[in-house]
Amino acid sequence: MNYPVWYLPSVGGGLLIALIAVTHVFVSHFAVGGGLYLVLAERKGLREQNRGIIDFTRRHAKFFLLMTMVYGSLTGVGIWFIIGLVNPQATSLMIHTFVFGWATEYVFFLLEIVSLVVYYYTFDRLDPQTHQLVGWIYFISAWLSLFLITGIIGFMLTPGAWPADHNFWSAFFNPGFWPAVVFRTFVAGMFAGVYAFLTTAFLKDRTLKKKMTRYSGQWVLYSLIGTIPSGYWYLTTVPQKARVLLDGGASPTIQRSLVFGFYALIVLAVLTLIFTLIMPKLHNKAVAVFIFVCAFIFMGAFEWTREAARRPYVINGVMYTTQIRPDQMAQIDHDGFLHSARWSAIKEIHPDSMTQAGEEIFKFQCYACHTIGGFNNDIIGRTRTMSFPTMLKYLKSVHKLRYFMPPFAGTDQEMKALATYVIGSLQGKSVAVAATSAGTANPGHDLFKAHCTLCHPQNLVKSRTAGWSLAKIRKALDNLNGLIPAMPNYDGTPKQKDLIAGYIHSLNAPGASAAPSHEPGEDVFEEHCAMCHGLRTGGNPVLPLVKGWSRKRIRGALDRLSKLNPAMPDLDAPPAQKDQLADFLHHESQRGTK
Amino acid sequence: MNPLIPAPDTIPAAWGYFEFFSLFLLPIHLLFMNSVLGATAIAMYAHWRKTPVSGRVAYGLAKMLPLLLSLTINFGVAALLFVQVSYGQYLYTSSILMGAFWLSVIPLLIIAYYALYLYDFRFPRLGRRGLIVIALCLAIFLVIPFIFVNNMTLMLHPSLWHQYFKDSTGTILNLGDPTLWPRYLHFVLGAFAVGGLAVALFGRYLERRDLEAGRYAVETGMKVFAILTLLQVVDGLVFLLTLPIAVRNRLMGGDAVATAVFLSALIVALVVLLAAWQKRVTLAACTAVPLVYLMVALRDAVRTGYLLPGYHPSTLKVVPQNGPLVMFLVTLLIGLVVVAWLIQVFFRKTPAS
Repeated sequence: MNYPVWYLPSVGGGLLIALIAVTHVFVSHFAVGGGLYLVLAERKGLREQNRGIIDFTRRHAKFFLLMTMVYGSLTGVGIWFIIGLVNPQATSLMIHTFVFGWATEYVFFLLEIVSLVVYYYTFDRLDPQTHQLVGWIYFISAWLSLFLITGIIGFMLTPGAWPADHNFWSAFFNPGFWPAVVFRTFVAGMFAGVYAFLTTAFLKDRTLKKKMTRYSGQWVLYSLIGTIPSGYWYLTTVPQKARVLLDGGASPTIQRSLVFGFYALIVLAVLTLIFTLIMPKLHNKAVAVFIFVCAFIFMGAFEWTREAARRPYVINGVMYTTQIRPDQMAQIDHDGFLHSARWSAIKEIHPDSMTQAGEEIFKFQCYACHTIGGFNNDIIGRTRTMSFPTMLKYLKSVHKLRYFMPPFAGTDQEMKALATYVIGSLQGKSVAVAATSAGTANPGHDLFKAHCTLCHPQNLVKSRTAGWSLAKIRKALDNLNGLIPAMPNYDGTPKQKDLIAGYIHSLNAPGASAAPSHEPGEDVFEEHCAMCHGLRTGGNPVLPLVKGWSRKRIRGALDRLSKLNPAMPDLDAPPAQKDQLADFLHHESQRGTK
Repeated sequence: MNPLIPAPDTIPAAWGYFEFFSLFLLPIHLLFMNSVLGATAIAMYAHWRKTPVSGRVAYGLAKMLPLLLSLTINFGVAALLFVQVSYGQYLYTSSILMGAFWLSVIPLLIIAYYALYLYDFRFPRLGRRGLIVIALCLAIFLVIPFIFVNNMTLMLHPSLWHQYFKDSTGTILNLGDPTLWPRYLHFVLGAFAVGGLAVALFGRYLERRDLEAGRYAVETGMKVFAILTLLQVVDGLVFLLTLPIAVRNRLMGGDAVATAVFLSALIVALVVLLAAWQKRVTLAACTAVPLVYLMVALRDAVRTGYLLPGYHPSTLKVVPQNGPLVMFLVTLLIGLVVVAWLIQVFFRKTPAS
């Protein structure tokens, strides 16, 4: 609101942050744990008077230097660059609140560079005791960097007492600080072993390879044992609302990320156990790379989840992802967002500039998390099933329906402008408000579409309520939050609830009183086909294409769309939905010919 | 006041602290950056000359360059941190306007950094191909200051920021600013000059174990230093003339401190020039370092001139954080002692064992 937006709608700033940040933390944890590994591996070589181990340590130190000093350091600076570009308001707050924390961390960064260079270039030149001391200086500096940065970034998820007292130490020693430090220290130890596997895989001396692989395996497994309880401890400090995002399943992206992270950790543990501890002689380059990739996925999933758990805030409770503070909302809703946004090109809305104003609002309020046709949270995909009235309704209560979404900031007129841009311009659908009041012949269906399909496809609701009585569905509508913690309660009237219950019940009981006025395949069509195809008319209509086709032929075609027309993507829907779509198209086709 | 300038945040100590840290740390960054640029150019030249002596000089410089670059980055980070505190509302904005170029600094540096290590670790094996590697580094090291000069000038020109409304893809450069090229040249010529001096100092160190190569480095370095310092004086005058009158006047009597800094810089520059032409390495080094400090102070006076009367960091609201300030100062002190010890260890002679 205070700053311009670097606008790359098909890429998205979030993706750029993720690309830089995830690879950085993967290396920066190695920069900490690997430092300890070097010192202790060297000490092992000295104690055992094993020249092979010392030479291995030296070679590993070179790899370490190239990974951490170049890639690690520069991506660290890169995070700073990119967050300043994508979220300048929050970055400014973080810099101004923690400048002395950052400056202190900078001193350790300097110490890391100097001590690591001295350590690497003085192997065999310094007496072992001094050389070890230099290594310890490196590790302690690196760990203190971790200590400081954990305090600063932990503040963003768990700001603790800071919003009330604005005290540096309250912010730094925030509720998540100690568990995060312990957790990250264990992760650093784990990565020390994971990275060392890469170096041991290249060892030619079999005895040495076996010895150092097993040694590195112990680093991974012992650290992993510490990672699990400290990770749980860390989780317990996450605020309740964010916990719902994590374990309540409210955020699909977090869910996916957690599943990835969990399996990556399991595979990592199993591979380490088998190939480095039980049978280290089987360790090879492929295993090392595979474990490395698993560790990367685990770290990526963790960081992604940690970042995502802050939503709808960029600093929990302090600033929304829209870079607006909660205490500014009332004023903006009153004055208008465009008027308040310093860098908005449009300050007032006119009936003929609704789309342009909507795009401007999208840029400032949605683009922080949503792309247009990009990889990350594509707004086109997310709003495909919505009509204009549904979108408007959604925007009004977006933050209540989905906790991780920030509230819309601005006037009703600005909300309409945004909906006009998304539904009219991006989706190419009608933006006539009249559609709401007219409705269809089935009010239960209309209510269902307006309130439920924002989050649930109709078929999901149908399968979940299969076998339920009307009374059971009706009762559930009174306590949705009790059913699934992440789901908000529906605040409709009893009459509206009756209508929705009737409709949902009818999904599994065709022929009942509230039978749907349309086929389920119509929803599938709207969700998957309508963005490119009309039915009878409009752009590229489907029915002329399937004229005279049997139901079987249509169903078969739905499995090989890209083969029928290389420009068409395959239909990404379960077989049951394809069946419904085939039924729908066949019926409509026959109806059209009668 | 231009309505596009964002509202600043509060600062945790009096603005003078940040001014001091900036004026103290930025010259160190520049000295390392100059060494990198000069050493890269001279390594390339020496490599190209193909003689055994020049080859040894190129190899010697190759070993130094990665460390010099890492220290350049390290001190650059510190300088950038403190400038964000005092001028964040300007810097974030101009960075966003040229976001694509600004962010490209990171991948460019990663490529150059790895290329420098390649040049160092594989110097003998690379042979003539090493020239391509070091030329790539030089090209990158010439592009990065251009990006920086663009950003550091764009942040001073809120009146040009409206270009954003035509292009929000982060590809705006400050090419219309008449000071841009003289300023860039001022940085690059100065960098090559001081870099030449750094190579000469390195030559002095090298002379102890390889007299021929050491002398070659001293001679080449000092020649570069002398010629470019002279050119630098000419470009400095052009730069001065392209500055807006109000800003220039501050340096020429309008503001006592700025004028004093300007005159001191002129006098020291004269001494540096004399030392350069007399090939007196130590005297040149002893005067070039204070000259860089004076130039940074002058640069700060120019920035103040641009932003006044609309803004000065002394107007920022202070919410003191004394404990964290002490934490930083104590850590800095301990850190510098440890760094000094590490440097001493690095140059310690190999034990007899």
